[in-house]
Amino acid sequence: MTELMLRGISVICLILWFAGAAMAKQGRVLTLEELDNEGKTTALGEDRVAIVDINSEIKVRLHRGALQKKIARLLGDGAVSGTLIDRATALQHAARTGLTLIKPLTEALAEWAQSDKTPQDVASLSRALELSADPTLLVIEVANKDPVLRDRLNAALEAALVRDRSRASQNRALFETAAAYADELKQTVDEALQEEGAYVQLGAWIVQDGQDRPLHLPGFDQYPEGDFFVVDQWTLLPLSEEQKQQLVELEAAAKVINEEGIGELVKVRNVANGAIVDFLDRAQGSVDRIERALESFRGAVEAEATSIRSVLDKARTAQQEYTAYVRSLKDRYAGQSARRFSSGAALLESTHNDLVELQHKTQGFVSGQIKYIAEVRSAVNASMSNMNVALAEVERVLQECRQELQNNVTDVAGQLSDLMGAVRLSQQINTAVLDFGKEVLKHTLDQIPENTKLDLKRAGARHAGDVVVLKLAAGSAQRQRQVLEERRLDLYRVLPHIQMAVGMIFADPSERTQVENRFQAAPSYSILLKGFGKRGITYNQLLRPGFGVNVSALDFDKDDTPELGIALVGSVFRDYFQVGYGYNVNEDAGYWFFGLRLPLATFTLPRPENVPEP
Amino acid sequence: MDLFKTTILPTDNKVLALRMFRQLVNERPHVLMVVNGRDPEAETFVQRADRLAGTLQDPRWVVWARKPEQIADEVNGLKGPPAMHSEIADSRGFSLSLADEIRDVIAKNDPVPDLVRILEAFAKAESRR
Repeated sequence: MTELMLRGISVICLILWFAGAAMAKQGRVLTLEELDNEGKTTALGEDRVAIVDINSEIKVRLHRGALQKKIARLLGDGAVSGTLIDRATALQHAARTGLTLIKPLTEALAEWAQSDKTPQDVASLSRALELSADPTLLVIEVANKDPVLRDRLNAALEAALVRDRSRASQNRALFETAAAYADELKQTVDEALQEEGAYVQLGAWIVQDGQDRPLHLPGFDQYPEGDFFVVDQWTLLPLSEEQKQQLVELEAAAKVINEEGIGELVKVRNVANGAIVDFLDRAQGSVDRIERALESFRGAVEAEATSIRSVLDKARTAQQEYTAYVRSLKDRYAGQSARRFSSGAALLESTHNDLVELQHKTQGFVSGQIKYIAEVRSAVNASMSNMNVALAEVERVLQECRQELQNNVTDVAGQLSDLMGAVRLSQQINTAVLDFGKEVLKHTLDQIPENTKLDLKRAGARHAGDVVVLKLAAGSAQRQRQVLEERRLDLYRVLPHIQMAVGMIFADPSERTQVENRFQAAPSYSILLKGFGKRGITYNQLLRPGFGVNVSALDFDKDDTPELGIALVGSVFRDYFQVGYGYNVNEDAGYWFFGLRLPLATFTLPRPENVPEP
Repeated sequence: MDLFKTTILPTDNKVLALRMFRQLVNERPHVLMVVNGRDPEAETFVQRADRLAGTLQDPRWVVWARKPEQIADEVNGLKGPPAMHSEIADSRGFSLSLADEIRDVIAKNDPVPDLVRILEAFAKAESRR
């Protein structure tokens, strides 16, 4: 056996050894491997979030030992011993490794017999012996704690030595006995867990724009296969209707910017503020209704029930505080000039925070009012049954207002979600809401498949940034289902591909044209080569660089007739920023430019009717 | 008693015993199992170790030191953890790696080593652990 071969075997065995040891140590049940469209396989690490190509196939492997252990922990100490599972897992792993090493060790010993016993020969033999010794010691370590296994190993070695004294015969007896014993232990564990009624479920979901739908995992559910959809890598598709519309809007926006200055861009504030002010008007209407209902009821009962006056006073105080809060918020949003932000993102963040607070206070206010009225109800029931009708009316108003206010908050949040999306890097997913449907099978441990695959091409239409979530859960007849492991796969276009990007460029013709300002805004689109096999989270979520060609509609001679600009362009930050150098074909003029894909220009155009010009 | 891979050190010639032991340790590339004593338990130990030493091409070898005091000085000079050195004087035997380092000691008050225990001592001598 050559030195090179032995080194190769050493590396493979070390990888097997450490991978197995690491897996056993961390107790991970799921191992994921990505097979991309180019046939390359990538092991997805232990990170909770992994980046995968949008067209890949994900191979999922379940480690039974780790699964048994997690279920045993879930079911409690009485169900099955964790030590038993540890032993079974360690034995199985050592036996598997040891059996694969018999042949190379036999070859190494044969080579040693023929060698001159030089120091190199000794070193080569040492390596072969070391590899085989490690699993041997692991098996014996277990046998030292398990007399049954020890007896079996002694018997197996005795029988093997009668037949044949060779090392291969000894090792085969040792490792085959260990493997068989490991199987028995696992069988015992399986049976114990089955008696407990333990079951396992594996589910997969794709989350797109906050909406989720289950995906089919062969062997684990009865969902149908999804639609076959390959996200194209190389075909240059015609501009979509949406992109065409964006170009039209960008052209209009460019005109505004060229005539009135770039300050127009910040009018995005009007949209956000308009939505908030509109909501606050509606909220004020609800509050007024509650106030009127309360006053009406208060008048009715005041004469008869002084005991409940204090409760109503509290309710009124809470209502007044809420009214004051709503008014102050309304004033803040109506008085836009007083609010300045360093960026659109800061504006959006501030607005979002106000929304959260508003929602919280609104819910607190309405819940408080309902609580006060309930207190009043109990008092009234005792002495004034005729007040029930009036009370019911108040409650009805409150319930209606609560629904109305909640709907309004949801509505305005929805209006702003697109804007928020511009500053958000990745989807925040509440995986707790991804529930196992009735189509997801409940497997007992002896039935559960050890492998499955998730073919993303069968997940229907997908976009970069979509998220796939895998959840492994277990439960029993007595124990409610619990999630044992959860993995998140962020889908991006990792492999090389062509992508179109529509945006606004700001071209600088360097005073060689009729352009008076330094920069001329122009609508454009870029054909970019992207995806260089990088799987880093920052790279895919934030950078996503590319380079290619930019085509723009310039107007350097300012005759309102578009001129064709063709440029080389580099793009970073998910195409939000581009820079390049180009040539105006009609004007025979070079220009450098930077480009932006921020949606601010698009949002500037449809100014809400109820928002006045600043 | 058929022993195929065991060198039995003489008890009546200390110089020869020492020379044979030195040769096995220093000049022959073996993974050695040194068995101390000549009582029936030591015989059982030797027989089992001899069988586990494998075929002739296998580097495992057994040395039977029926009078271990004859080689004590040489053993004291071997490489190995101090804790093991201190145990050897009162042991059933010990294993040595290819690099002549003490890797495992089977204590006198341990049970007569079974095949698994002897295999463990050989494996420790072959492991890098």
